[in-house]
Amino acid sequence: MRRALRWMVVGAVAACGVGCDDGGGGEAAEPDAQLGDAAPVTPDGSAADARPGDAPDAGDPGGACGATVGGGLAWTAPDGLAAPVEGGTPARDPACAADAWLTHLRGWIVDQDGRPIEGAKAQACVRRAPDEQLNCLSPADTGGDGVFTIAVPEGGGNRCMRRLAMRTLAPNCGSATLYCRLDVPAPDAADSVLRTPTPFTLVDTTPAVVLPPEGDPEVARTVVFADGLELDVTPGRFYAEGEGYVGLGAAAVAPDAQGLCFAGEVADFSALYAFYPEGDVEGTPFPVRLPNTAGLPAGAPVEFLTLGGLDCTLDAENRIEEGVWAVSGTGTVSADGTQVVSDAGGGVPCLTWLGYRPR
Amino acid sequence: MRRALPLLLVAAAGCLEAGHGGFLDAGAPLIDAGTADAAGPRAAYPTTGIGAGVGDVLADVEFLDADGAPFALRDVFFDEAERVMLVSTAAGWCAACIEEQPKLNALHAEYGDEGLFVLVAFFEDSSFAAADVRDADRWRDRHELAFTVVADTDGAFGAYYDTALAPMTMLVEVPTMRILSIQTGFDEAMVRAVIASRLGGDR
Repeated sequence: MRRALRWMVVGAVAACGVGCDDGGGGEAAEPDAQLGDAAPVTPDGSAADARPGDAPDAGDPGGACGATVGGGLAWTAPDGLAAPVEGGTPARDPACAADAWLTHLRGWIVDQDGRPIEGAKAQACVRRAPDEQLNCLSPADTGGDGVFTIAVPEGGGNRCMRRLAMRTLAPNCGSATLYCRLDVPAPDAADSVLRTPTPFTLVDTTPAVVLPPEGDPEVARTVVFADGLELDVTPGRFYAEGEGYVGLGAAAVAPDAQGLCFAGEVADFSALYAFYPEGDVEGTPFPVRLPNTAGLPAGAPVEFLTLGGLDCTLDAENRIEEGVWAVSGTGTVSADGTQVVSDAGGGVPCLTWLGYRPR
Repeated sequence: MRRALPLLLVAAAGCLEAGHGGFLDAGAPLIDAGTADAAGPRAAYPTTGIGAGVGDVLADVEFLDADGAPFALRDVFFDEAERVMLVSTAAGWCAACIEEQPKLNALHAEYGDEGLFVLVAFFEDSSFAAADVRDADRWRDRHELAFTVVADTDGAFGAYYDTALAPMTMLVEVPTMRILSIQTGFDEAMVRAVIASRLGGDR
């Protein structure tokens, strides 16, 4: 069931355009729908779909991965978003006259069908003003309506801020961690509570369909994902907590899919992929080959873009900050036009979200 | 020269804006490291004045280090070569902590031989689970840290700061184990000023 659901949601997301929410709420995919269902296997024929913490089915009231609550689709803001915050909102520090002043961050987390996820985590890192020192706030859990509230502590001067990045996830559940940069309010904004206008959508990934045994971790091997994405992974250079290499999964996501907090930044992407688990690639990026679903002409040059995450290094000197899309390499459409292939030295610098577009 | 060093520390403290962290204030009796060292060998870990604030004595706490070996703060205290300890908390979910690690390595390289002991207390992984030795080991390896990393599985250092924020940076005067400063975040200029005021006199 888990496998069927995960294939189903990938298909649903891939097929979901901006028109999905014409009426302010999309239709949840039927639980029995199986789009492209197939058993992921390893080369030795064993099933590759075995992760701890399998998410509960839609409507399941609980589970290690939180519950997606059936019925109450929440592409639109739940009532809890507008509720007053507990304890009120302290007055602005007069010293913070030229920057944003925030005491709370509130938003809501949904699955790719728009259902709120209970028990998901939301976490923020802020660059405080005026020194732009980066500090990270402890995570907040979502409630039954998917809503979370992060209180920005009084100490540390972090309520006066310049930039803000969010990390939302359902730990160890197979969904791609989402990073978003949020626009901080204008310095003269009256409300010190930032309520996000759109949900944070966690996309479920599908385990790799070909996952060679880990073997010698310093040897590269090709991992194949459900839609034909091929990644040449050297496990010993993949730094990720939790399942790491053996838990690898991916999902193709339509760049114009509902609920992407970075929608405006990926609108011109030809394709978009989300990975699980998140992690950094030490040294040279992993070479990648992607299906040319956009029909770009043979030999066409593309550029790859990677979403910055918790730990995403472009090279020894440069990291991609959380929520920032950065050009991470170039590629070329293969001679037969079927694949987009990363150029030498390029590819995937970290496993978060990856896209490409013509250049 | 050494008598002037405490004044540098006070000056550094004066640069802090209220709410950005705590330092020994100008009125607190500052202990000159040389004076403390001159008091004699460190026979017993201080047991009076223990507390969680600036100026208090840091309690002796035991951990497992990234190799799984026992490590206690008294190990630092009893090492006569150590004069200032920099404690930094870190978590796998904390991008700010990741940014900070190279700076800690640089401080260790610059001041390690002069008596700076750098300690990272790793308390949660990227999925917010309590850290264990394996996590601490991975953190150390990942960031190629040349100093001690411990698994703060029980969040012992959480008693010293607002755990809603990370990282925390604490400076401790080793001969007395008095807490010199506690900051949320990592204000490198301020940290360097304090360390230089304590250790830079020998340069």
